[in-house]
Amino acid sequence: LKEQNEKSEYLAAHALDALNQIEAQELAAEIAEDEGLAAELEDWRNVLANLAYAVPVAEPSPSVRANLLAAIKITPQKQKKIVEDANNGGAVVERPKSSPQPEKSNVISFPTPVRSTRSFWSYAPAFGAVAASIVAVFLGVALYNTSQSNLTQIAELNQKLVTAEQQLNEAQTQLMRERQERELLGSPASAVFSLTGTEDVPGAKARLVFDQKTGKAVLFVEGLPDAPQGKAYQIWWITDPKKPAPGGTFKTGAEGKGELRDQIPQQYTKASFFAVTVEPEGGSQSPTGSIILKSPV
Amino acid sequence: LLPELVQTSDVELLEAISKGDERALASLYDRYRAILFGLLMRILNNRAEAEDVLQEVFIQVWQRAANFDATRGKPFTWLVTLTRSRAIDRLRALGSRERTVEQATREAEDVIFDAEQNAIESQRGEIVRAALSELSEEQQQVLTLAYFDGFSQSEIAEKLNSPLGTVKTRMRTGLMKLRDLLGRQTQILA
Repeated sequence: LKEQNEKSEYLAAHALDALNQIEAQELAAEIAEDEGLAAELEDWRNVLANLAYAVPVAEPSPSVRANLLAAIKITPQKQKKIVEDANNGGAVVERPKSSPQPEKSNVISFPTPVRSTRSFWSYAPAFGAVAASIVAVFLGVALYNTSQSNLTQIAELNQKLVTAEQQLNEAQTQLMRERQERELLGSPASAVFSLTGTEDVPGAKARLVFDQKTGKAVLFVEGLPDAPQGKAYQIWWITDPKKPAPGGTFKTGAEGKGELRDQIPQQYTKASFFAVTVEPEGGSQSPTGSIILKSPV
Repeated sequence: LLPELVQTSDVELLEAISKGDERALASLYDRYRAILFGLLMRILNNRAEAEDVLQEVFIQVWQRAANFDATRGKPFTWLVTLTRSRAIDRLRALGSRERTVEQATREAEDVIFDAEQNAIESQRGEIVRAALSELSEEQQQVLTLAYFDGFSQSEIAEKLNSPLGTVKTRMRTGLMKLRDLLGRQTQILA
């Protein structure tokens, strides 16, 4: 990462998170000490943020807003601190205003020596200044090396901090999810359906819970072997047997358990028949595989 | 929402959020939920997961608003970067990248180039899509795989069976061209 042009190229790829881990860490350490690089990275992020306009907008369920506003009531806010977060936008890369700024100049000034009337001592300040300059140069080199090492350590520590924050957020999301599931189960508009395995997988069973008002649905599956290579399981919402509506796809784990959170389209929230088929990964628009789980007709 | 919150700038909203103003967070959410959720749907291709991540993003905004520094970046860029980053993390955690890529590849043409929204966002969408269409197919492909599917340069090279240097060149030239094209529209995109 020596040349400026090369750095610019790396910055563009870094803004896309497209560098490998070593390149990204090395560049993050350089960005931490060079505000120009940080600004250039932010420029690239500004360019890339526009790509969000290129995709179709979509409307989340109203419950997301309600849950968010409920969640922040119990979520403490963090105080301003040193954050060097390469993955979350340069805007949060900051230091407290009161923190000491690193020395930008290599020139270290000394007080003007006071001359003595004695001849030997008249040279002492000059000797002292030269000696001090030599010590300063050595100290400067040592400090530079230490600061390089510290910057790498800071970058690594910040990466760990980011990871820890992500884990915390994921845990909070999981908690939120469980609460939403409890709410779903407790909702007066909730409907519960049992699905049983067909002759292909007689030991499989599933429970589908969904809110007929909001369409939020969760499917819990047990005893279903992992789908074949390149295949996944897909649920279907059925009001007209000739036109089943496609739901989400899922896979099962080693113990045959699986879970799917999905949103039932409004026109199918009154559906009373559900089935699961084996489909190509990514799902199908209409069933192509055999039914392996179904609710009673 | 009170009219004054609707008119408030993003930076002012973030300042208010950092001081614990819940209405400001609601206002910021209302302002950007549709565009961010569209991005999440494009990356995750799963409504429930996308809603989870959207909620996670705004919780993080709530937590970290105090660390946002308007002199270093734009709120919109911060929100989009945060959203995309969390979506890619979720995609990896779900292990569903292959599925999404297959689907994305299949639908790339009409998904990326089929936006609709209110007049301003529609105009912005047209500008960005027009800029993207100026790129070569190969440049669009590597940018799409990196931005929407979270692949690294090395992974893209492997996936496309192309030399790494070629992928880097396509990415670099594509990004530079995109920057030039969008740079001429800064007033509308700002």
